[in-house]
Amino acid sequence: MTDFIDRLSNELVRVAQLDVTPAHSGGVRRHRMLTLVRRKPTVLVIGLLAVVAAPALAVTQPWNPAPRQIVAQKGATAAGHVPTGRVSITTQAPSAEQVSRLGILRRPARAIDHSPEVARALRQLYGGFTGVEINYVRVLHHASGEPLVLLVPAKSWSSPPGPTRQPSESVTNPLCVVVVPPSGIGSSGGCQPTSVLTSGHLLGSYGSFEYGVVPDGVASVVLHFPDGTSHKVPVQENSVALTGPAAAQRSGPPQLPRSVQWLDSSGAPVPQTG
Amino acid sequence: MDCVAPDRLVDRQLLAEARAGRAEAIGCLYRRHHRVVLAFLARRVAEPELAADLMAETFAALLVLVRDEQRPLPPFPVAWLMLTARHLLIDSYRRGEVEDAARRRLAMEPVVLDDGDLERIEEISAETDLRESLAAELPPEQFEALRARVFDEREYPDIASELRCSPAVVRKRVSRAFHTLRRSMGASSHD
Repeated sequence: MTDFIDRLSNELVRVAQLDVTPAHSGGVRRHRMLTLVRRKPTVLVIGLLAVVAAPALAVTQPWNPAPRQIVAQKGATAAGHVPTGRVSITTQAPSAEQVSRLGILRRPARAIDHSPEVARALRQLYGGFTGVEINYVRVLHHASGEPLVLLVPAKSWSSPPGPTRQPSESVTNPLCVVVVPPSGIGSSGGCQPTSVLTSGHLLGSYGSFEYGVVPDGVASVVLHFPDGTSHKVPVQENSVALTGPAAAQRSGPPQLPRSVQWLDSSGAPVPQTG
Repeated sequence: MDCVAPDRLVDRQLLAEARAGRAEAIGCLYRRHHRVVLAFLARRVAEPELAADLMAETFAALLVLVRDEQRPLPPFPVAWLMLTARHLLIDSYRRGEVEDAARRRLAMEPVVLDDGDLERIEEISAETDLRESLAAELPPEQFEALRARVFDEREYPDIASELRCSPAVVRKRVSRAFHTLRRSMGASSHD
């Protein structure tokens, strides 16, 4: 017995053997079977997490296996830069270095990490992902009316091949940040090696919304923007999110910080490597 | 235990045995009908993973029914499976995700797919003749109702033309047969 047909048969028989009263068993199971496939054109960018304004996102439709999706796929093909392929998942843990540097990966997953919104976002991943470490996907930021930001560790990631991104780049053990707009339609983000985390450059922007990931020990960051403005942002569970009034007061086109300063809980600088 | 005999009475017996506590019976029923359920779903969704997801939920829903002694066992289990699969498929369109209530109730472990599994799903979809498989399992009137309602989704005049009777007759026959099917699904019938 090797394929999923047999595994599902075994699982049905196994649970049929259990003396489970259904009304009491709902809260003790794991997250449901999750399939990760690219269901619609989604653009993920590599490099220093690219500046992506909302209108520049690939226009996508909510997952829908009805014929409408076929139309969307045709459009994606015509665009010529949307990769195809399947996303594989794994229950393995991220690299030891990532786990040691990011407390958010060491804590158990919470309900929000397994929410329908997260599942939906993961289904939008395209085939450049290999071995998404499904038990370690974490919500970095969520708030009403603001983008949903996910940390998605994986075994490897390849950038989309295409006319504007040649050749395809690959990252082993990437830390990927996926940003889903408040509409839930489409996503953006990027993947970087652990060295980018420790260098202080695992940052990105979505319109005026700035986000990033920092290692343990960083309690706040100061973002210095090219327009001369600076913003001190508290860190919550390795997550940086410049949002709300502080983000709104910034004007002009979306831009990444020119430099980033890390501070510990006492306000003392934390060195970056690289 | 015979898991392949092409006799619908075997299905009912399997369900009864599963309700009586013989767990392998549900495995037999699954092995008898997973191909037709999977093929039906795989031809209606864009990705084989979704078909597998929906199939798992369909059979889990059957097991939930089997374990609930207040609910009657469906006399035509394969028809119940097809209608449930169709219901879950439509529901997934509306919700934007696949229902997992039955699997949660059963505390089922997730089944993770690899590339070989995905190829297998596509093979099963390509190899399985839905009509032939179901015609062998169901009485003619049940098969016709299922075919019209679940597979073809054609207009009644088309069916009438094929059967050489009036659309009203077709409508009545389909309605009667479908009503029988729904009744056979018990109090929590779908659709």
